[in-house]
Amino acid sequence: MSDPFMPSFRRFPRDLWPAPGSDEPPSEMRPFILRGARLGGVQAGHGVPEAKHRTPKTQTPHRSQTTSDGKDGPRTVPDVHYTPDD
Amino acid sequence: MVAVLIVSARNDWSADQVAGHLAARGVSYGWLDPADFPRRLGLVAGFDRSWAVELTTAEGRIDLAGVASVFYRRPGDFDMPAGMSGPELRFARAQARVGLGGVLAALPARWVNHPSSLADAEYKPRQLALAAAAGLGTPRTLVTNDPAAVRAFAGQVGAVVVKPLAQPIVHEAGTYTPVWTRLLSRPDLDHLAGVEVTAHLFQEWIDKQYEVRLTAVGDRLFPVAIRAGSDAAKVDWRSDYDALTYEVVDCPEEIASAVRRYLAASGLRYAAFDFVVDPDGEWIFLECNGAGQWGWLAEECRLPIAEAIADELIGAAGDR
Repeated sequence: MSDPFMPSFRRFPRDLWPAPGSDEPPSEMRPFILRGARLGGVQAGHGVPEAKHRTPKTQTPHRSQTTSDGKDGPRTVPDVHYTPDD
Repeated sequence: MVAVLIVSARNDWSADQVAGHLAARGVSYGWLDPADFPRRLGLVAGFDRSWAVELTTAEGRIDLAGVASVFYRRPGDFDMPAGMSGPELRFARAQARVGLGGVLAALPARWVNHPSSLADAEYKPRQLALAAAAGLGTPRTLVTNDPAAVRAFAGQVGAVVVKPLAQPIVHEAGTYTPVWTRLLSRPDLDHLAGVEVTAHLFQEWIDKQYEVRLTAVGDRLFPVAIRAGSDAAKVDWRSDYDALTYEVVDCPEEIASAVRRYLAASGLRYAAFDFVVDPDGEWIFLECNGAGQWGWLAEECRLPIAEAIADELIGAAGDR
């Protein structure tokens, strides 16, 4: 069991956010702050909006396997999600 | 041997800018992306009163014995070999995290910034306490899961915003939901369902002339006014970058001194501070991000932030 209070996002290596690609819809127990947050405000694979650089983007892509068991299959393709610069 | 170690993803624009300045000044550096571990990165670390660490990458070996400073930015995640079960994979990641991360964290070097300091810096409630202790003005703030406390707070301070405490994105319904700071409406206050399910941060709304992103690198400060041209950006400028304009401004000396006290207290050598400048010209601290983005402001305002970070790293190398 992990320590619920331990800050983890910046610890080495930067923790991934919750695994991408969850199909779970919003629930009726949705936290208040998410009220009005635009579902799909960001397209999967494009990351959150960021400042526009004249040079290549600064968001960090993370590639992960799409299989839940972590094993490659013949049709396994990497899924990509992005952590933003904030 | 290398004098500076960069720990970041290979495609990190900002780290690449800093690396360019290191190279231009003839400072040797190595680049470690944890995403190469363990498949493309070998680790041999021996301990005999101190750590001797050697990394083997596709480009060759990196001996960390001479590392005087570490630029820790946005490391990629480990790339574990396929074939392990889920539990084995999680265990292996933890091994890598504490093994490779541990020998790096033990380096007797100047860190910009040390991951433990960055981790501590995540807590927004702690940021507010540090800011107040450093002498910065701060907004009245409530962290609660009690709707009645929210109504009482709004009655006390007037207009209120709700802000994410942790990462501002939710991966759900096959897509991504960004979470921005939001100004509460009267209907919001009448219907606060969902406050009770977790901690929420509510803060008094501060009227703004403009906001400031102040990038601090060691003793050097780069304050930039950010003016919002849309309703969304006026509440949270991150939500609408297209509506922003930028201008380098002067930082009041008392703010500069307080920012330096904050950095000293938090153990950070680099940080991005966000302020509101109110109609009276007072600078009110909102938050401090130890890994905040700076590249776009450096470009927009021609600020030598990459050079300043290189200076900070080289300063330690020069002390060796």
